[in-house]
Parts: sequence; C-alpha cells; structure tokens
Amino acid sequence: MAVTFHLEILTPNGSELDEQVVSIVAPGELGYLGVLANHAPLITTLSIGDLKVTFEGNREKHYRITGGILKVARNEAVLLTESIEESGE
Amino acid sequence: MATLLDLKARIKAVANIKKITRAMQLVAAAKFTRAQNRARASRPYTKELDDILGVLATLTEMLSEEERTGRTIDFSFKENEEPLRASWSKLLEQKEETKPGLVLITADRGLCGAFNTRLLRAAHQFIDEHEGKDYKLLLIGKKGYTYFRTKKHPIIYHRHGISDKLNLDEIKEVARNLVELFINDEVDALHLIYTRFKSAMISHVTQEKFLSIPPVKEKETAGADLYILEPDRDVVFQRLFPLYATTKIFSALAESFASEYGSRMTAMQLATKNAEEMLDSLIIERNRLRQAIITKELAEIVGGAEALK
Repeated sequence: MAVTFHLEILTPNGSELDEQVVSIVAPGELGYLGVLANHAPLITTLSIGDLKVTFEGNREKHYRITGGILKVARNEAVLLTESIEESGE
Repeated sequence: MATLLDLKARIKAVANIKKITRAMQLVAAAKFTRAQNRARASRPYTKELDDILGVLATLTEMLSEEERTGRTIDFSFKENEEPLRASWSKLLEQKEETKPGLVLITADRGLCGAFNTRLLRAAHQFIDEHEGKDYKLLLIGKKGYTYFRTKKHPIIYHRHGISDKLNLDEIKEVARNLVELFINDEVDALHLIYTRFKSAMISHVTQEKFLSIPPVKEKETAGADLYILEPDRDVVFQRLFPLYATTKIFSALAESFASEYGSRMTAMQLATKNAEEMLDSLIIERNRLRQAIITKELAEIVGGAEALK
C-alpha cells in the first residue's frame, strides 16, 4: 500500500478534485516538481503546463493548468488555479 | 363611483402587471440558482487564497525597514501586459488612512427590493465616518453610479455592465484598475462594500478591507516560517497578489449577483402576490357592479310592467 496524502484542486468555479493521492507532478516556475506524502511545508507558484496526479493502484490523471499556486502542509496539498482542464493520455 | 368600463380597464392593467412581475420572478429564479451555485463554488478557493496570503503576511513581518521601502515588486494580471510596480511598504503598511477609497458594488438594475438601498445607506455611513478626510468613491454597478453622480462626491472610478457569468478576463481588468489607483496613491486604503449572500431571503451588506495585507493573526504565525517558498518569497508574492486581488473582486461579485437575484426573486414574488390579491378584489367589485346593474334593470322592467296593469 502506497502512502497517500490529500489533494484538493480548487478553481474560482469550484472544486475540481478532492481525493487521496499518491503523488503529483506539477509545473513549477523553475521546472517540474514532484510531491509525495509527508512532504515538507511548501508554497510554490506554478506556470502553464501539465499536471500529473497518481492515485492508489497506479491510476493516473492528467491535467493542463494555466499557472497557479500549490500549498503543501501536514499531508494536505491544495492547488489553486484559475483554469484547469483534464487532458487525455 | 367607478363605472364598469373603468373597472374592466383596471383589471386588464393589473393582469398585465402580474404577467410581467411573474415573468421577472421566473427569470430571476433561474439566474438565482446559477448565481448561488457560483457563489458557493468560489468560497473554498477564496478562503484558501486568504490563508496562503496570511502565511506570506507573517513572513513579510520579518522584513527589515530597508527591504520594505527599497524592494519593489512587479506584478501583472494578464500575460503580455505592462506590469505594475509597488514597494513592499505600499502593500503592507497599515498607516493612518488619509485618502480612504470606497469600492461599492451595487446592481446594474433595480426592481430588487431593498438591495440597492441598503448598499447606498452603508455607503453613506462610510462617508459620514470619514467626514473631513479626502475620501474617494469607486463604483461598480450602475445604480450606485447614477445615485452618487448627481451628488457632490469624488468618484474616481466607475464601471458597470459586468456580466453575471463572471468572465475572469473582465474581472481581472477591474481588479487591475483598482490596484493601479491604489499603487498610484489616488487612495491609500480600499474598503469594499458589497452584499454577502446567505439565502434567497437573507443577505448581508458587508464591509471588508481590500488590497492591504491583513494583519497577522496569532494562530497563523505558528509554523509559517517553516514553509519553503519556491522560487522565493518575492516571486510567490508577485504571483499571489494579482490572484488575490482578482479573487476578492470575483468572489464579491459572485456574492453580490447571488444576493441581487435572490432579492429580485423575492421582491417579484411579493409583487405577483399583491397583483393577484388586487385582481381578486377588483373582479369581485366588477361582478358586484354588473349584478347591481342587472338587478336595477330587472327592477325597472318589473316596475314598468306593474304600472301597465
């Protein structure tokens, strides 16, 4: 069993995702960054790019985001973005 | 005494009014449902953004005097636009307000009960409180503008016709305009007065500080310095600030629209009910009058026949 943490993706138009996840890979300002469970408290800006979310059982979801903010603290990650769209793959 | 014709005309008029208020009620109800969902949906985002800003505010408390005045931050609301520049001190300082600005969000249209009146009353109260200071008005919504335009108040910004679909680009423009006025020292503090939505019947006129970073609350201080900021504090702030300004306006508008439609729906519902009652009593009156005429005619015929005997 992979260790999970909670991820919530919020936009001004509502919540896009609110689930336990194993990892996320987000487009940071200085390059892609990965977050796993028990990550140190972090606030980072995101730029335009692909967001990959991995759930338990290797299920994956891909999104396109147009920048935003990611906050991680106490195994709770919150991603704020103005627009997000699920992409294929 | 009204004639039968008068009554008929009135019945027709009231029936028409009822049709109109009823239609407005239905339109408001449909828009209300959408606006309500939008207002509710935007709340978690707004709250989270406030929290992050709180963490940053804690960190900026540790800024030295030099950094406060010397360091500037550039930020832009949209891509490919001229960035705005401000020093830390401009954004942080909670100094004495000498040029407070009031951002008042009213509706563009009337016929929504006491919605606009309550906002105007709150605005007047604000003006009274800042009597003697160099206060400025920034009006969003047509009703507030047409009201204050005729009076001698300094209006430095007004905007109406914002879509209730809450187009983000449009709102960014408004937010940028407000921030620009703030940075250019047209005002040294901004207060936001808008209607916060609770339910179709209940909404509250709310006053909030806008743009100046809120003073740090005790419990937020704990652990704030543990955060890693990527790439660094200035860049995070640079990105966060326009987001924050936009979101504040966005959520205030979302709340305001939901309240407006709720208020209009209730007001029109009441108007329809009143029209119905009026219609009922008018119809009864008409029937009575008609019956009275028939009875009178019958009495005349009977009287005439009696006389012939």
